[in-house]
Amino acid sequence: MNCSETHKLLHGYLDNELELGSALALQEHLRDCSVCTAEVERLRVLRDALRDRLPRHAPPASLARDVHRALRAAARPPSSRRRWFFSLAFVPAVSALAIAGWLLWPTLHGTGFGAERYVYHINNLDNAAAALQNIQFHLEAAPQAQFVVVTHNSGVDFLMQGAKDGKGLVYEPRVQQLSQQGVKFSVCNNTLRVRHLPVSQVVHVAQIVPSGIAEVGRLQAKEGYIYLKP
Amino acid sequence: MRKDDRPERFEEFIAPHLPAAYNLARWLTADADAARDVVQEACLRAFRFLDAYRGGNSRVWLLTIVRNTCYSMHEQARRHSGLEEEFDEESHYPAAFAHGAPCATPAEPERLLQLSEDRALIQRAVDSLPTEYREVIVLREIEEFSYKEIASIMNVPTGTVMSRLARARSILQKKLSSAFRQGSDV
Repeated sequence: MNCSETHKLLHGYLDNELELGSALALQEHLRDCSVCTAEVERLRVLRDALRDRLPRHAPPASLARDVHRALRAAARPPSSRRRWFFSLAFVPAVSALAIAGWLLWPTLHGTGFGAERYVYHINNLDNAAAALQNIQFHLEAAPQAQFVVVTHNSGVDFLMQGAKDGKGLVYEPRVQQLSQQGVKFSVCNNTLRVRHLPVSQVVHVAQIVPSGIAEVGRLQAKEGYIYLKP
Repeated sequence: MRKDDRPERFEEFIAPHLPAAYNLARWLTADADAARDVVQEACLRAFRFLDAYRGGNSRVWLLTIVRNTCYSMHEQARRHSGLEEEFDEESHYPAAFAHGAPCATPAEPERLLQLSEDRALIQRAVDSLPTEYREVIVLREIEEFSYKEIASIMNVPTGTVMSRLARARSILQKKLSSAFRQGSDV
């Protein structure tokens, strides 16, 4: 092997990536060539410096949690979701269930069979502050009722960390307080992705759902929630 | 209905490599927030396509997705890349390798050793590399992948991995040498 061939294979040799025959031939050449030997040494020093000195960037502590949160939203059984969304019977089924639910409601409520459940649908940030106030009043009037707030489009904004209302007041304390009283908050993952909003920015008490709209429909049709739009 | 065992498979095959995924994304995007977004998006994709993972090195599999996600998501990475034609090894090997090159003196290794004490200098030097060179350095010197694994991640032949690595190391040598000579930044 001559110097020119050696130069081509130098890095492979240094990284132990050459097949045996080439490696031995290169080694033979190095025995007789001080220039190539010096070159290998320089490379070795550089490579060792890189290995020792280049930092491994450690992820923030919240990364694993944020990833798992986003995945939980994605891990909903696809078959039931697909059946729901693409079924031709979608609209009549929802209507029939809604009517049936509405008709049966007094009966069910009287037997204590179904607690009051309300889904608040917020898809516009302009309604957020008023909605939170409404929910607070509603909660006081019906302390046994269950509340879920589902947000999408610009409605997700009040559930981002540091978000402030029109008066400059931070939303999060109100959200925390309602959450402590059992109100659940949901954020639409499709909205997050389309608007490039990081999951890590969502306040911690909120859960992520694959689709806000689908969640609003599901809560009504499958779990008997009553729909409210503030 | 087949039970969806993707959560378990994700925990077993993908989750252990989250730190490596973040490290690569962080080096490629040069931004902690962007890196976080990339890893989240890459994990979503990995989860979605988990059925396509049929065993083999799951770290290579995940980091391939991370790398592709970086390039599709991150403007900066896109701007710096764009090496369309690969190097012809003969004509593009740096002059330093040739006989009688001025910097090929016996004292050189000692100088580089002194330079290497400065972690910040080395990190800055690698940060300033074009993306396609930075990524091969990170994959080789930090993640310690083989040429074959790097070739798989970067979707290039192994010969290209070697020549890109050679070029990257050559640029770094020049940057570090000149920084030492001038006593200034790379």
